[in-house]
Amino acid sequence: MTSIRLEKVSKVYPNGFEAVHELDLEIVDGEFMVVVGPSGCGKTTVLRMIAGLEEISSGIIQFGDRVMNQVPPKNRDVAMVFQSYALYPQMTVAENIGFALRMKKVPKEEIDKRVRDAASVLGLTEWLSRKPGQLSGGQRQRVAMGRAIVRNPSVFLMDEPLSNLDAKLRVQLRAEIARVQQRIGVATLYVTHDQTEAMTLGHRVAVLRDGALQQCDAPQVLYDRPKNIFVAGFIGSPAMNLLEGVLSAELDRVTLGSQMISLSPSVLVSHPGLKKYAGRTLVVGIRPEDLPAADHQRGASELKGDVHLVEALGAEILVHFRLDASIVTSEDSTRRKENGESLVGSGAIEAECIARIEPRHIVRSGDRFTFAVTEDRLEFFDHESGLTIWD
Amino acid sequence: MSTDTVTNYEQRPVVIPPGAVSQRRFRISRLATPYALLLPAGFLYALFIVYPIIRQFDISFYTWHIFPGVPNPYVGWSNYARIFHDPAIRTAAWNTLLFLVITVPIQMFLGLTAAALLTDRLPGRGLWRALIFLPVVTSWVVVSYVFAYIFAQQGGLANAVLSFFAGHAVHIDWLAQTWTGNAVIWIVSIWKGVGWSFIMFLAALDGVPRDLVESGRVDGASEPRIWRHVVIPNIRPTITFVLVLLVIGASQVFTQVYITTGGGPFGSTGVLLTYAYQQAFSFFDFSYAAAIASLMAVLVLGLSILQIRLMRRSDG
Repeated sequence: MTSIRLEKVSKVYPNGFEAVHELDLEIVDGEFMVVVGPSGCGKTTVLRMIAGLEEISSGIIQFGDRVMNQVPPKNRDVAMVFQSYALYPQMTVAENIGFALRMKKVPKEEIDKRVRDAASVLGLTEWLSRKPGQLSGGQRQRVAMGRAIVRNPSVFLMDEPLSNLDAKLRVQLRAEIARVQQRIGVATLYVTHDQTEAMTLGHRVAVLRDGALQQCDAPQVLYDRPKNIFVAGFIGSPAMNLLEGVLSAELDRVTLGSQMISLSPSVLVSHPGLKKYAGRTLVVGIRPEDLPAADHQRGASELKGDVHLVEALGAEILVHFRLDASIVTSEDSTRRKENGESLVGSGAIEAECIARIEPRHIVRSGDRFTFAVTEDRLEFFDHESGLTIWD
Repeated sequence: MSTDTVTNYEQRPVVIPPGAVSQRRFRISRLATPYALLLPAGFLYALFIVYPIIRQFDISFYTWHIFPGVPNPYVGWSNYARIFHDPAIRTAAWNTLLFLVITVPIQMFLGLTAAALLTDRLPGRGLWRALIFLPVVTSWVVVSYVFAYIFAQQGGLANAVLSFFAGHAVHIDWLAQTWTGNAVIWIVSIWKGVGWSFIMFLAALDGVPRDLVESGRVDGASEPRIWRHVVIPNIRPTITFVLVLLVIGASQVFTQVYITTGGGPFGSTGVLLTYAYQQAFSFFDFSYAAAIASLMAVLVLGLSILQIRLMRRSDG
């Protein structure tokens, strides 16, 4: 039973590219940690450094009390599921699953028993004598999992294990992965770019961007209290609408383009930091589900938008509409920062927004539709730093 | 038929626009094109490969004379029967076998070792790769003459170097003694041939998925075990290919023997092809030479099929 600790871990490649920047992360024993981020954010590098497949440039990686920096992969007692599954093509399923045990010189009877146990857990018993080439994608994925769990490893690493599967199988195997992780109960690091996987699987989720940790929290905390504009925009699908707004000097309303949202005193109570922004420009974040169709109650804030696309999903309708406010993008922040520009980029004057409304409403493309604003659910971000305004 | 009215695309008939060639003619021309393109190469192949092989088999059943007008009596299998009662051919066959058993594994081992070393981040690996492959693209004749010079008794480089270290003149007649002569033939063949297996293995090793090797490392395998359980099984098709082609090549060894030792002294370094050549062009016994060459062709073919079958079976 081991915990994993990364202390100021950096990875700089010989060409000078810094893939990971001073990462601090701790995965406690039994915890399921998901590392999520866009392509090239360094998440796979983190995983490979923990496995020992990539040397670290600086910092410390510890398993329990043991510093692992110089320990070769074969001595780390790490099980890893690769994105490609990396099954040995010439070996049968049973040989694939038992390979690590053979390398450890475990007695043959013991290997057979453990392979059979793992196979029965994963529903692979009838495929044990097949070769990987004769299996479907889902079965191969299970073999890769079997290979990992049969070892009783102290650390379990998974590198986008579901990305090669179709959507339906992904949902099915997601549940299976959660079950297996619970069963083996060791510190697990799971890398994905799929935020649904991150939100559903992780006890905690670490959001990485350009090699730097943005936030590491329980999934719901990430969703409800994102630390910055990047996390706010990255977690949640459809993404949070991020708009440039001006807070009134009286702190009782925010102007978004030509429209205004009034703020109740409770918003100031939950976001006391807003007081510093009186009369200043900030970024307002509104989740699509916090923009329901207006029921025209007196005093409620509303936003009117020009609908240009309607996606009826059955249980809900996604309404794409335009507002005459400036949209804010959190992309390319590193470059902007390096160039001395504002971390938050303002985009077009006409903002593209998405609202998630109930299916009973009739909306058509071309309509001017009115949405209610759930003001207690608004998020506010500093226009320069992109950090969330709370206290 | 307007596309608006078509709903079932699977049942939509193929419509040939007016003025187009008929479907039958279209099919014929589509099939004919590749054959037409293959024709020149096929013609040359038939003329210079297929015809000589058939003619060689044909000649082996006659007492054949090169001079026109001289009768060539049919002798049946007697040329083949001669092979099994010819003491001189035993030395040639033994030397061919020895050449094969010694040069093929060494070339494969050195080629694979060099490829394994040069796939990693070795400084100047491009230069090394070029140097190892260079002998492959040079002519057998040139290389054989260079080695004949190196191991010449008078003024040869090998003797000069030995003289330098020995402190007195050394006059070993390398090419005129059975074992040293054979050794020179093996050395020149390995030196010139290793680059080819090196390139083959280099390409094969580049094709081994990195994930598999890393998975082996994470699974606790040491480097030798990764080679045994992961790398070698993955490059097995290339190993088979290289082995089969090297065996075929070794069975047909000729130029380096002919130029360096000429098969001497007294046929003691001769191989099957130099022997057959000698029969044909020194003794003008073309039929016997054709029988030897035909038997070799059958043996090499059989050996290659056997090798491929065995390797395939072990792949399971």
